[in-house]
Amino acid sequence: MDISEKLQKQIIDAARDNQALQIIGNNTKAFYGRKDNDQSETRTLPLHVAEHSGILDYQPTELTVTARAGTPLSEIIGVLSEHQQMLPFEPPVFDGRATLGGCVASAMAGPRRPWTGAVRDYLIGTRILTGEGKEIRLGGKVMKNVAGYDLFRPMAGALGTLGLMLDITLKLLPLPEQEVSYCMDTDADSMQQILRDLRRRSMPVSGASYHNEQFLLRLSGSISSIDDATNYLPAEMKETAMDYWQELNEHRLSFFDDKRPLYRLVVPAASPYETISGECIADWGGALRWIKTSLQFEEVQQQTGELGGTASIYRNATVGEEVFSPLPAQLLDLHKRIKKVMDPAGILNPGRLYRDL
Amino acid sequence: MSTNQFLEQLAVILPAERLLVRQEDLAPYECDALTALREKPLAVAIPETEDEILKLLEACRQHSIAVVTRGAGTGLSGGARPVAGALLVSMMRFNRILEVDEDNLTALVEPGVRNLAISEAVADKGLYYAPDPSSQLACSIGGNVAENAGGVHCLKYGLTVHNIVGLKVITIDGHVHTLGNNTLESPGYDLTALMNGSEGMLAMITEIRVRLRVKPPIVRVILAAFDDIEQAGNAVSTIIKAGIVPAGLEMMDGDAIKAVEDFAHAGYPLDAQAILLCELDGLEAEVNAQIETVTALLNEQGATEVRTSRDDQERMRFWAGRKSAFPAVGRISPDYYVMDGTIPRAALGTVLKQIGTWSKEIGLSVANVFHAGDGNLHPLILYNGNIPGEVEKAEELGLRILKLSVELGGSITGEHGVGVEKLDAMCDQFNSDELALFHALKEAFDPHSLLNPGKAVPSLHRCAELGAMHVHNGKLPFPELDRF
Repeated sequence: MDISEKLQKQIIDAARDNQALQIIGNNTKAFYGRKDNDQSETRTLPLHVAEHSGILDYQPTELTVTARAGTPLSEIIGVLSEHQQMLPFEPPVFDGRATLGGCVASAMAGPRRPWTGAVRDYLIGTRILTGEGKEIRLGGKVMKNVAGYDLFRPMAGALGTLGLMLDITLKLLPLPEQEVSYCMDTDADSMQQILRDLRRRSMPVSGASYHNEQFLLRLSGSISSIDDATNYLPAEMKETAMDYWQELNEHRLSFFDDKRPLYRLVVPAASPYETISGECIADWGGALRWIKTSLQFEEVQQQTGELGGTASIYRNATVGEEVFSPLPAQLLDLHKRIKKVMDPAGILNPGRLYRDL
Repeated sequence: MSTNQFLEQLAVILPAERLLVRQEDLAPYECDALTALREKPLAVAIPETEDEILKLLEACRQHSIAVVTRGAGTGLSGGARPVAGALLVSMMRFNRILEVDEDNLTALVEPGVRNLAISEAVADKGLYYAPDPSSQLACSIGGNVAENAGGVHCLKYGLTVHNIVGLKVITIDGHVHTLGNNTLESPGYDLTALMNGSEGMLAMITEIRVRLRVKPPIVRVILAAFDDIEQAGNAVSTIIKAGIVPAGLEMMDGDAIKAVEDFAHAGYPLDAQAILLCELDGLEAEVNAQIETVTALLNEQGATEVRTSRDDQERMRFWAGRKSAFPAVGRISPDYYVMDGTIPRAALGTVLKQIGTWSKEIGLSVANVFHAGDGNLHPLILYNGNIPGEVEKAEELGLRILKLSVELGGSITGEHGVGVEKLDAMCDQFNSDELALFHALKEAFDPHSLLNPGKAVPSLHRCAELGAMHVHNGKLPFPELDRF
């Protein structure tokens, strides 16, 4: 259903009344992002987008799909798989209810990310409502498009602070012909060595995770290329169940059953694991680390910075605290100016990324 | 503020050999590869350090002098064409490769480094930089970022934006910003993406972190000939539907084939109405299987001839024709005008038919080369600038083609950028709210419009005053603007 007009009216009214809005799809990511201190009902009004749903255009021969932001990911994934195609960035679906809009706004990408790319790499256009309720088309239906400023890719990861996405067009990839999972007991350095070797040989790696001194590997591709790859796997690697990757992506592994703040680090893949004390599951070949630790956020940030990466609090942060790595003052200032262009009254998800945005 | 005072200030910042003021020294900088549009700058500055740039910008701010940034000057839309009275800043002395990180598959380079030089520098590690615009021998990576350059491998490897991990930029206010880092994510808005394709309007780029890739073990090209261009287009669709993502998928029509064969002698069949070049890369067994599948599909779709490259030399020969399409056409026509629209591939037949009709009506020939994998079309309009009225005819035909691209759901520019060349066409692709938003964004970065002013985004009044504007369903575009 198309509820653009209703959404537009709500935004226009809110801008006029200086009423902050909280954009809500199916609320699967309510835990994510920064929370303002004042959570009372009078503070923010929900802007419900879930009704704005439906696949508008799917062209398998163009490798593109356009859908309304409220469309559940599971619906899109289902339709794509009927044509042997997929969302290249493997987003978590949160029991199937996660919406396309929330997926792009949070830019969450799964185990495949280092080998296929990020959400923003597959975003080719979006129709949005600005914080003034103006309907704006950014990008388009074709990938080769460099007309106008690229304001659509920055929508990925902006957590709704730059505009409300109504429709979204994505580039797709074919589903791999075959996927196999392996695991072996080893140390982190050996895992990196194995991955380097496979990479040098152009082997079809699509997942690499490290947990409890176990290296889990996923290969995805043509049957012949996976066949090829098995010649270069260490003898100790044993085939294992495929469901690990979904369990990891959807945070169903018992590691994630924890009320403590869950830290999310993005670092150079070969970074040592001992630097930050605590328990860790690594994904993205080591480039993404989930950490449970007794250290405070500031200390985690500092140590992650020393590794050349950044840290955020993914879940269970304290209300009011910043959850993402701070930006240098001048850069934050530039962010504020861009935000002001897109949302002059500052009503779209204020404070969800940073207190001042 | 006299320009003399400004130039005196510059003379303190830069030595004489890197500050050009004499008319004959300015001439090489008066245009980019869009040679029809020329303008001499006030002066040309060739900085070597970030500090020099900061001082230059300070002087420009003080004297309200505009800045036009230039890389190698190979751009096709006038993005580096000077604005009258502006300082042209050449970044070509920023030509160092600062860092190659084999582990993280990135390289930190300066904007004046040539595109191909990056791949050359990392070749011994079995790595390369993927985006390969036809001008890659000469074009600068900074220019590539400014235009979000493409090439023949975008279908599989993306545009420049998909291969840039971070940037160091300087905004007009003299602030240095580091965007992105050497990991897969960085906090805040994706300003790296915003900078790509911003055509020198938002900031000056001083460092670029590019993504490197592992060279595929095997690369093969299939050359297929067709009697009918629509058939060729359909063949492309069936290849994609079969779940194959070729590294490159290019098409040329009969006129382009003839021009190119005369020039490059690539061995293209002269009687073909269309040829398709399909490049496949990866592991040997996989590529061989794909060659089989693609060959079968091409034959099914009516290919009159299908050849597969047997070695790298033959592969280069197959490509030589396509890559020299522009100079080849330049040989058979006194002048030519390169268009750069993108259309949904399913509309290819429609567009080519329409171009054919208009070509006859206006009286100018058009040769077409086409990034078939991603719908980016390069109609080459042949004309003779010495004949009065032909330039205007070529522009008229060009604009019609761009409008048609937009009407069919595409874009006025797939990779060459808007610059000055496509300002009018921007009025077709974007409405007044959208253009106003772009202007507001520009203002947030550059409130006094000193960086490459007048480029990339037309003013609303320009759009309103356009004679070529047409009225849809009785509704006048931009109704809120006065007309004189």
